[in-house]
Amino acid sequence: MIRLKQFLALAGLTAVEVLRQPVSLLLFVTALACMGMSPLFLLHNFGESGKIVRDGALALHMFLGFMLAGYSSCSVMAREIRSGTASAVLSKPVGRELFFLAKYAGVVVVVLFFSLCATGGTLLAEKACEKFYFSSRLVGYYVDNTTGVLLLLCPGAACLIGAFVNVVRKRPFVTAALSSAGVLMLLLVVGACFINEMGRPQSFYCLYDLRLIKASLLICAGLTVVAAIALLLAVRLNTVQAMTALTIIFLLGWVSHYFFGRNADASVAASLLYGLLPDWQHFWMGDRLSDEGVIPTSYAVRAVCYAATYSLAILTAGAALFSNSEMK
Amino acid sequence: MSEAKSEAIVSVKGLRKTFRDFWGRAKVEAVRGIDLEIRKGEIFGLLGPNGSGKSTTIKILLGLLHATGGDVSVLGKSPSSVKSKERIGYLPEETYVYSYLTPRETLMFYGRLFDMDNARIKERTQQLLEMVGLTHVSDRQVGEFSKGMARRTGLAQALINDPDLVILDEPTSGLDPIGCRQVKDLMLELARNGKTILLSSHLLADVEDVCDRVAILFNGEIKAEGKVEDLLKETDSLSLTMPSVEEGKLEEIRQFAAKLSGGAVQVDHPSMDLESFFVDVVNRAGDEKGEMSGAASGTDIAEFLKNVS
Repeated sequence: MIRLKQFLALAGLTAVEVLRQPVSLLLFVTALACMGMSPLFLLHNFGESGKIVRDGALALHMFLGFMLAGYSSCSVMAREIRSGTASAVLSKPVGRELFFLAKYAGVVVVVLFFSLCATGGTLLAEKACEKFYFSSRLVGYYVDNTTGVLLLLCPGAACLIGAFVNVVRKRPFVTAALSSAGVLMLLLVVGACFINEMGRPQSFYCLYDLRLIKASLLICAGLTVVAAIALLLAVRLNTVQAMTALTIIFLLGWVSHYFFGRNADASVAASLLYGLLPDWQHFWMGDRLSDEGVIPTSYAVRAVCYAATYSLAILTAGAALFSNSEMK
Repeated sequence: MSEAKSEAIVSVKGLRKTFRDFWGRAKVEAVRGIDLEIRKGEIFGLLGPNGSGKSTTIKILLGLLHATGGDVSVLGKSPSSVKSKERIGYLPEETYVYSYLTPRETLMFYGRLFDMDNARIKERTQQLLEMVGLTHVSDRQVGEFSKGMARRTGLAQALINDPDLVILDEPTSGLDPIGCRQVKDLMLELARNGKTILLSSHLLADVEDVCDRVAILFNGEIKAEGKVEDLLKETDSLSLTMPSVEEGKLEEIRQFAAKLSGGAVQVDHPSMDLESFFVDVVNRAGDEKGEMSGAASGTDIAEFLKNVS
């Protein structure tokens, strides 16, 4: 019971620490603002605005999520080791493995929060973008400007609320702004169901492309792998070194199937390298969603299992490495 | 030393520590065969210049660094034992606190790492905040604090679990003279209540004021160890304190003493040390105190630390 209490205390502290970093707010705001702008300011889309907005939103989710998961993991671990707060905590009756895993759990909580907001943003951006409708009710190209503008205003409104809470309640601005962004996004996702394809009021009706939820879930699974790798690297490297190594692994992971995965049956070395490197392609479903494609549930389950297994292996190695490391 | 103080709380035999570089090559031999024994209820001082191995030794005792050789036992267990840390309080050399937490949040957080219910954590947090004089700033972030105020937070977190062994690395660093005096009084009070204290400090006056025994480290080796009074006693001279007398009588005394001792006699007025003078002045000024933005003077030792074990 005490171990669980310690785990929750450490994970909660890590999540709060990450959520109070200005860089977290910057990444959240950038993601939501870019998602909001994409349906409103698209030019020369050749009738492909749905695909462009969808791919753009998923790419923002993936890339900014990578930045958030990677930087947060590196900073909470490397900075704590170097600043001495890890020593202070480990001088208490806290096991090193528990400390390491709690740090991971704290970062994952923030990644999940980011993914929830990004998923909401993706659904709203896709709903707002220009589409061709051909039905008894509606024929032609329409843009839902209302939803798009509301999405674009969301990060700004969150920052204003954060500033207000900071002035009146003396709460940290970043945390208040991020909490507001989450609440506003939830309200907006529900509220946009009362807005039709042309941006006018309607009775409740869901116009979202729900396939995007599965695609976003897979990206979120990929981001948990990023967090695990970053945490492992940060045990021995400082933040800059760890982020550099993580970026190289991230880039190699995109081509691991092309270079190693295809030859895995023929070569032991290729098989080994393909097993060691994460294959991010498993988590990218942007292309699959074109032409009304669907993501089979069985595939999503397998990809999530891959992420969980890979993360578990990395975390086991990380916990072992951290157990033997010295706190200077 | 009484029977109650005979139990060894910390035992170190032949401790060695070599730091290695990235490739595993020996870089620095920080500790070279230290033998130490710290007994229950004792205030033990670890002295030495920078780089003499004091902090390294302390971190090995806490299991934060791994010894290259030798035997170490803390509270009868290996330093790597998580269980033994339930009875240890540690104030690091630098104040390692989370800058975005308030002192209250900091103490609550550290309290949750021990097997205590929330009511007890809250109670102890309040008592410790009062003890270190931070009650009125308990809702400000530690990152906004002066070094001394952050140090007080660090000291409070080291005592949240009512530890049997308190390890203090430069506890008075960054504190004002009143804070220094309070920390020294606190150490004496803790020792009176049966706690064992390991103190590492550069400030020799601090160590002299509170320590029962000291060890002086140099280049990773113990160069001197023993009771403070034994180490400092000058057995070939005497000092005598008496009420002031007029100049003529003083000369008679001087001549008489010179005749008896057969050597030169020095006569002067004893003076109050600067720390005592400063504390006196500030305490008098404090009688007219208004609202303070910094740390307040603090109160007596927290109630929960008074239980004699």
